[in-house]
Amino acid sequence: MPKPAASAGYTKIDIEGLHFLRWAQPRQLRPLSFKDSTGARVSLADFQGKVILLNVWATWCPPCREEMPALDRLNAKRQSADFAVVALSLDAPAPAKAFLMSIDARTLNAYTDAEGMALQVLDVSTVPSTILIDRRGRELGRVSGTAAWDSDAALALIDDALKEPI
Amino acid sequence: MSTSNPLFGARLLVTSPILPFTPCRNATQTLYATSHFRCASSPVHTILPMDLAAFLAGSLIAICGSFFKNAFKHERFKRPMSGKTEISRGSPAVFVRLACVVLLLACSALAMRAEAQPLLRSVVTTERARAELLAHAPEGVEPGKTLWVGLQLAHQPDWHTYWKNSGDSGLPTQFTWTLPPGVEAGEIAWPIPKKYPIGNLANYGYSGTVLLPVPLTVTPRFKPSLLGGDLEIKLKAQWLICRKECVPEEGEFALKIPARSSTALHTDVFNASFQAQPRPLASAGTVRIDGSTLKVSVPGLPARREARCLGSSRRRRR
Repeated sequence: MPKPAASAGYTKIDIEGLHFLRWAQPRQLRPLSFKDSTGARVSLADFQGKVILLNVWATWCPPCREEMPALDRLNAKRQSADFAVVALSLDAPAPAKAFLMSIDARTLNAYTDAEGMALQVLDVSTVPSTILIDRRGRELGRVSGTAAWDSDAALALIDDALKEPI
Repeated sequence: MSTSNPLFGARLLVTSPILPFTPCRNATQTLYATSHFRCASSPVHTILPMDLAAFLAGSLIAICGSFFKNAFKHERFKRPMSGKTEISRGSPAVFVRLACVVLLLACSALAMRAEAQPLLRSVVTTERARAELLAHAPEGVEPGKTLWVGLQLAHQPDWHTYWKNSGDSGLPTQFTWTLPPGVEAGEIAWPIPKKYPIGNLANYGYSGTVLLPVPLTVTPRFKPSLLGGDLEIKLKAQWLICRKECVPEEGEFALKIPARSSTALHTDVFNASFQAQPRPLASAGTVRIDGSTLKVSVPGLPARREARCLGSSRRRRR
């Protein structure tokens, strides 16, 4: 499991007041699987080849609900063969889908991990937590708390990750 | 929103093997014990039955030792000189030895039992909150007497936990009690909550320090144990604590309430919580459908609450 290293091991990237921690070296992630909106099993490895922004959220988490529209807008702007926002809910599929519909999130899939395995596998203790993952499935950095994901700073962070050689 | 939090259960599932090995036994024992949770030192009420049992066992060994010594002395030095029979000389020594063995066995059994029980902890401290199980039994523990227990949550600045109706999101704090036969726990007597707006959501809960009291009903079926005569209660509490992010936390608490003496150390805390309870209105309100209008009439509200649209306060805050 990648452990947060010494403070020298990352740079802070300011996303409108929230500090995204960008690791100096990409970190290996352990295998993680969850369900897609059809109930089929998918794993993080299935996304290799794409840069993904993995957002761990829950309907019972007020800040998560608040930030979701911005994640949807980011996905609408940058979704491609190279990039996707993966919103992974800790709820059962029904409430997760219902919430995404209620905020009219058009581009996000309701991925769910009702057993909460992602918390242990990703070493996440707060929600929302958002992890940027490179094309090879390695963690580039993470942030805990609500971020303005459609801001220029966030878009620059994503574009920077997309520029990295495969 | 979902009404249950699968996360709590999931974390338990994942973490229970870690439990006995974490050095911080007072903190919420979750998978986070291995990652972000730091276990702060906290003033913990700790009763160590092990210590007591060890002390008793030690005392008994000492007493028995002296008995043995006397018994041997008696046999070795008196037998050749006295004309008494073996039986009359031997029997007190054998009796003493037997009694000692029985006592020692009983003692070690007691010690083992004490060791098997978890330590009694009434405080759990996390990075975000300090939670303490408090009791209020001014008249002791007897059928028909008022007895309250409650979890006091002291939140770090900016953090809050939730009311029974957590609002648009959030999760209510949940209690699971383990009580002796004849003692029943009631519902949480929730103090009036505060509103926590986040974006266009409104949530209800508590910050600062709050006590969530629960009445305990003691029925005649309750029999205090012969040793000590205490009422031992255990609580597993789960609370979601949020700021700009949310963390599901939990703690296990235990407390012994003396059955035959008054427990009133926290009277002020309990009274403050009782004062903060919602009060029933003098007369009931009415709800009726008038054509396409739903008419709600609630008499006897304070003046500042009257004639205000229910949705207006939220809209104003946006």
